[in-house]
Amino acid sequence: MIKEDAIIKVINNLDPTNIVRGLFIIGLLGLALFLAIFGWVNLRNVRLLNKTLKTSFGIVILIAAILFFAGCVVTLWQAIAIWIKPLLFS
Amino acid sequence: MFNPLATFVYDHTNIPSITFGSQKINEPVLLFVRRDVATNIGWVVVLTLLALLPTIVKIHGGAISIFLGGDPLAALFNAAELGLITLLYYMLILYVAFLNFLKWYFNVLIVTDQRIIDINFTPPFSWRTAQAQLEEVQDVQHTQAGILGIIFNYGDVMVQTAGTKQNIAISKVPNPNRIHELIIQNLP
Repeated sequence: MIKEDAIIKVINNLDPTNIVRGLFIIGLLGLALFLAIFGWVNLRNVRLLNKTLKTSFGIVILIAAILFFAGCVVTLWQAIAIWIKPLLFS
Repeated sequence: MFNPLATFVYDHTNIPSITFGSQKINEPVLLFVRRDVATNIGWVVVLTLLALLPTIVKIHGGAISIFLGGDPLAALFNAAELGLITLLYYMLILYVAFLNFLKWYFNVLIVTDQRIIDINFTPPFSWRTAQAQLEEVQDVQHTQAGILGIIFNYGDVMVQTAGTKQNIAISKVPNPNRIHELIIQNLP
């Protein structure tokens, strides 16, 4: 009986809306992770390129890269708080 | 005052503010060029339209809902999730814009009284610098082609070097004819 209930629960969760939602969430989490990693890569690139070409505008680009990376980390944190935390603590 | 986003600098009052990593003492920069500003129009227009897209969808939400038979995203996600999706969307646009800007800003050709240096950044992972001594330069060519090249006066400059050394080339720079002349004038 318990086994049948579990199967019915799984089948109910296989509703196309849930599958689409799940795929969307995986994609969006992947995007948030991608942005965080590439935001950091960007920051590294800007630091190295500023050493290669030194102009007065270099510091502005570096600050922009830091702010962008911070934004990416906040976005990733928000994505984890909304989609991962409820899975772990429910 | 020197414009840090300048694409073509060769006057001696502004040049001292431009320096580069491997610059030697008493090696003044004589010419500094990067791709023409007009070459950025394409990505700026596309990204601006993409940035405006959510607003357009919001304004014409009713018509779009009728066309799609309802709001598909609102049916799948709650308000907090939709906020996060919007944030992710704008972060992605910002990322692409930042990469394109870096690609434009850090692709430069510098001519000093001793050598020609080409700094080339291909985002997100690849960047290289190439240089040739002025004595090694055998030929300088410039090409100006295409309707946009003629309208905005930009083109490609190629510096051919002696031996097996790689040639130095920079594309879509402003005043290619003038750059050609300035490089030739500084050859020993």
